[in-house]
Amino acid sequence: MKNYFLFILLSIFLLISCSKNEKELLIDDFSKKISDTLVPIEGRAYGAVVYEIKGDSNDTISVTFNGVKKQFFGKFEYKFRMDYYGGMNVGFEFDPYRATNGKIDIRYGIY
Amino acid sequence: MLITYFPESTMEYIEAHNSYTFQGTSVFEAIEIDSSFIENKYIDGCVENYTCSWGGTDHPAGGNCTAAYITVDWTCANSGGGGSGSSSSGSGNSPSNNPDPILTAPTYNFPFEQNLIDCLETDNLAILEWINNSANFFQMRDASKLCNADNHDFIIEAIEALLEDGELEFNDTIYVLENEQDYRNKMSDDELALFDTLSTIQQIKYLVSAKEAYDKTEELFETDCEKHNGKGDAFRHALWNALSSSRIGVGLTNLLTTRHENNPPLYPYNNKENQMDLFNNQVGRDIFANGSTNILQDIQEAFNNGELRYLSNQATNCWATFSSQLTPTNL
Repeated sequence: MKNYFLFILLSIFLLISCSKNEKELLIDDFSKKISDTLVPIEGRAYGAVVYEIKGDSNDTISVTFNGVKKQFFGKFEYKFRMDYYGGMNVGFEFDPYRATNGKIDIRYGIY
Repeated sequence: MLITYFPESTMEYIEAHNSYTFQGTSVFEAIEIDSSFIENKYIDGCVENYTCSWGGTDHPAGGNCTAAYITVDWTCANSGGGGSGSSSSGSGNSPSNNPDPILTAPTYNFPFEQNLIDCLETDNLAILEWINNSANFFQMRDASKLCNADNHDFIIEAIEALLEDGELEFNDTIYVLENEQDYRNKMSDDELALFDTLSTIQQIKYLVSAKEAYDKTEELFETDCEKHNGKGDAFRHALWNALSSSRIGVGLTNLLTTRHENNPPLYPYNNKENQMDLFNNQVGRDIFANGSTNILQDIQEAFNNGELRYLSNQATNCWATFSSQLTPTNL
């Protein structure tokens, strides 16, 4: 019964996340890359691609979003905002690159 | 045409006339439907329906129903409007023989007003008067349908905005209020800082202008690269600025939309996008400032005359390239 409720709660969370076209990642495992694609709601162009990153890493990491690559290291907090009207899928990639540990919070989305 | 009745007394069925008594008012609402498939529609406003009684029960007549079993029902609309009527049926009962054709049967009026009052839980007299004003019926009905515990603050804000500016569309107002965070995400930091100093009604007007420009662009332009850095983008920026200027003023629109472009370049030719947007923003504001009385028409005219600019030679992802140039929209 407990698992059943957990499943429902998880489904609701995913549903909300998908319909908002916004996601949040909490990263503390720097052993692998994370890739994702945001798919716009059909027939509705979005107007901006945005991510906000906050955290720290012991060496350089890179984030590529909508084809734009940025690198960070140490303690950082940055907001990426790009006017972009259209309906194309938007790719996201987190690459730990040279970093082996740290803690990062990234929220990315299309609006 | 959708007709909503507001009976002021109990309706009674009149068997001899196969109709209802009706006292009160009715509101006519034009609705857009694809009526091309309705083959039994006549220009005098009448519709004929064929019923087949073969087999003992009445049912819509199909192609195999023979004349002996077919009954024709006519339903006609009064050209002058109003809420009364009767129904008639019988073989060959043509509209011209029916002196009192039916519009639609009066139906039970859903208590939208009371539902909205219950949902909003407000004792604000101005809002209550707005709800009970029949001139606001359609907006009130939309609000009543939308209202729930999660959004009733938005609904109250939207009604307050409409009370302050009757030109605003309720649904657009609700939309921008419900999606305000998305709009905030689209703003540059400088733009957002200024936006936060505006009154709620100014914020709504600014966002509704952006939404209307966006919706019109979606309607008129199809491809991604028309909407981003292309002709659609040019059109949207000009319309956005003209609409916003008409609502919150040219100066404030200039400050906000210019700050919107305040971003560090994200790729080598990113600044060409900013040049294009700033150019078209200015054209839009000028069109309003020069006394436009029909903003949409004037923006379309400017577009057709090549007074707006788009970027030529876009990359496949619609970005500006080395060879992109500001190009008149009539080329």
